[in-house]
Amino acid sequence: MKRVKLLIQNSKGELSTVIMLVILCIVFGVKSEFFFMPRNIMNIGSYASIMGTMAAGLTVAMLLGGLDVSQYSLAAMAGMIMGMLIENNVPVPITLAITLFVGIAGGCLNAFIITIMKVNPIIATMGTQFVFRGAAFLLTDGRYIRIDNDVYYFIGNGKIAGIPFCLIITIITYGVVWYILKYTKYGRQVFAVGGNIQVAKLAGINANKVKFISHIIAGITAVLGGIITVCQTSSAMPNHGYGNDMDGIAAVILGGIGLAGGKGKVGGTLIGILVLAVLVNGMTLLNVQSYWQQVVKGLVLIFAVFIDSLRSGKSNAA
Amino acid sequence: MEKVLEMRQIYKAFPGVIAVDKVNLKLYSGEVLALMGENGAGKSTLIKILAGVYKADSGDILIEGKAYQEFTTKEAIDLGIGVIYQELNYLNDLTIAENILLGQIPTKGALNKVDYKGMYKQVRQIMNKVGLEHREPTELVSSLSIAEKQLIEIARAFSRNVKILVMDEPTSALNETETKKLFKLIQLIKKEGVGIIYISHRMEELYRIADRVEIMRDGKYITTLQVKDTNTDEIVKHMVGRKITDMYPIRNCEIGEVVFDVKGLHTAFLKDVNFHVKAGEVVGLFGLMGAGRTEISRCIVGMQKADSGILHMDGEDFMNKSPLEALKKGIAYVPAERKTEGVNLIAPVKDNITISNLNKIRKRRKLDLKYEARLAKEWIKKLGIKTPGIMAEAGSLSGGNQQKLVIAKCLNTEPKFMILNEPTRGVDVGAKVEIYNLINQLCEEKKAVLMISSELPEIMALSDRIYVLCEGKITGELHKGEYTQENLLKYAIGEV
Repeated sequence: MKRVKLLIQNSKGELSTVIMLVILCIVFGVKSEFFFMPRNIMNIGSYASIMGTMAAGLTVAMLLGGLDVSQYSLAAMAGMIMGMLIENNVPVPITLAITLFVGIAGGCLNAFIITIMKVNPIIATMGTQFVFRGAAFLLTDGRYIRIDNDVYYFIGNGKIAGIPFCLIITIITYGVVWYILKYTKYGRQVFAVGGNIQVAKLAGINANKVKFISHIIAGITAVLGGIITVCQTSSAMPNHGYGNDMDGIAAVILGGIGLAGGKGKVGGTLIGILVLAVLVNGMTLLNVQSYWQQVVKGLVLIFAVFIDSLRSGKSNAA
Repeated sequence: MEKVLEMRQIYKAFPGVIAVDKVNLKLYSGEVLALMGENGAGKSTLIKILAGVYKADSGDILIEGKAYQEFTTKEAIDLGIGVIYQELNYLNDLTIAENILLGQIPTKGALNKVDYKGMYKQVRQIMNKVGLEHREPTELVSSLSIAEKQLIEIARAFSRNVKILVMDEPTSALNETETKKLFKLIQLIKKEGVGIIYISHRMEELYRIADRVEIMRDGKYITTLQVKDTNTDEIVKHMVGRKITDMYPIRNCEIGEVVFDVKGLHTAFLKDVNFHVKAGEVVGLFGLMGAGRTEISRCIVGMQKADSGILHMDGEDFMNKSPLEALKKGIAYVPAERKTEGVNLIAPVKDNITISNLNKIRKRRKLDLKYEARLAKEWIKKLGIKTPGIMAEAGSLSGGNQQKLVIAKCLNTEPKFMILNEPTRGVDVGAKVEIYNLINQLCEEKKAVLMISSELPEIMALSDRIYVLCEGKITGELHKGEYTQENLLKYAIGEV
């Protein structure tokens, strides 16, 4: 009993989202006979893998009280560079390495603007969001690049033991981020700086360095998401992810990490991603118009945060 | 004297705790009633009920003979109840006049235009009364000192015809001169027939300002005493429910070689600061607020850049450029602002203990969480930190235990030299004694300790030597036996 109580206390932030996920699954499962079919579950996985991978890195930045709204634009830009490399028959490993490097560079740019130029993270990444998106269009003058290559097709659509390969990438990414946050010195420093930057500095932590690295992590996972997008659609498009820029942030918030940072788990983000993916999948199965899907997504986000503020409000009064 | 307030059998429970248990309180016009009790005794809850923030579960509040069960904060103000909380309420970007008349700014005409002329005239009068005559009503509050900001709150209470004034630790951020001024003002307010409830942890203030003292413990009313008929021992006995014979435990340890030495520390404010601390020695650093005490410590630990100055430890000359360098040299710092600089309130207890020395729990680049848990438990046991467990949020601990947590964090870095900045600020009597014992324990372990404190009795009892600071300069070095409250203060105001 004591253990159950502890579990509930420790998962406070995520609890309402878990309940929401269960309710959504039950509702969709009852309403649509396809929902619980293995093929549909894999569909949800594939859909979740892109924004899921991106949000894993974003979680680290947001734990620090930061934010990155440029992820989808960076992914699109890196995707275009990847497409151009493939067009020029650059070998697969080199293509992937260069694309990932673009993610590191983009993350460094964000980090530089935020930690050295001291621009607020929202404004800094809003700026680079435009820059990356513009660059994505400029690279080919807005032309799409079609990709016809078995390796890339496998990354996006292949399966290992029935599990989509892209989902495996996502799961590994979460494993790595989870490990970093729980078992490394850097992870502990992330929570310290996010919790109280003054205290962290006095504890001998270089807060700027911790923040810098977090934006690089966000950049790398953004580009990983970009690579999966390109591979799933077999094309590099400069408008990839356009209009989805806030999905990752929504997932992190659903997962119980507030904008202030300092507290939360990457597992929470995963649950937040699943809520969004199940929501979109279920509504599509039920033939809900996509415009309505946007409305519902927004309401779910507000509702989840509202529940949490209700609960923390109550505990504060006591 | 006329009774302005009576609180009868006030009872208030929160889920799991009875915060106030049938407490009585009487306040007469023109008196200062000190309300004393350890942290968690229920003083704040009682005051919040009086201010209308909380509603009592049962009990009556009689104001000038009229009984109320409950009222809102707005109604409390209208009834003449003014509360000055420890965290001051002011708006930095508004003028003095606007702050004083907050919520009651005079208007005129059909459009309810702000009547600036009338406002300044009205404010001027109140400002003269509270000792802000040297300021203009149009000045921004951001340019005022903490003491003056406090006067703004008192002025605000005056503007609302206050009959009952509650002051929660008003002197905690004031220096001696400012405190004296405040006490003079309190005498003035008394003469106008206002009843004052005064909350403070500082025993000596009680004798200086209070007429009666009401003591609470564990949410219960204990007793009310006439200040002139009582003494510290009796009050402390009632507060803690046991007698604290050794408020300042005696230390008998040998003082060794010089461990830490600072030479020629200069900043824009500090002028040629030199001092040293020996092994097993507690050196006090005394000075009024703003004398540069915190600045010295921030320079030493590398939080602030000094223009010049050399630190000397272990046969090495150096200057710290960051707190990390200081920690590596064996210098640990317990900051004065516990909640903003000492503890990560939303992190677990164990994370707070180990954060300054993560390398200690790192094995092959991986954090050994099991070892960390063991280590945290050891510190909790050694320092007697009261916590539900190592995973409890640090913010849920009491002030005294949070302070011990900060000390544990510092000790975990295995320092040779420790700077304790106001280690007992806002900590209740019982926890204070425990912290004093802890300081003695540090000495026995041959650590060198620099203690900064604005509480004279404390710094005098604990220090082997005291350096006195005045406006960025060290004006005196006094050895045990040489110092009295009077001569320390003389050095502190630069009159020697």
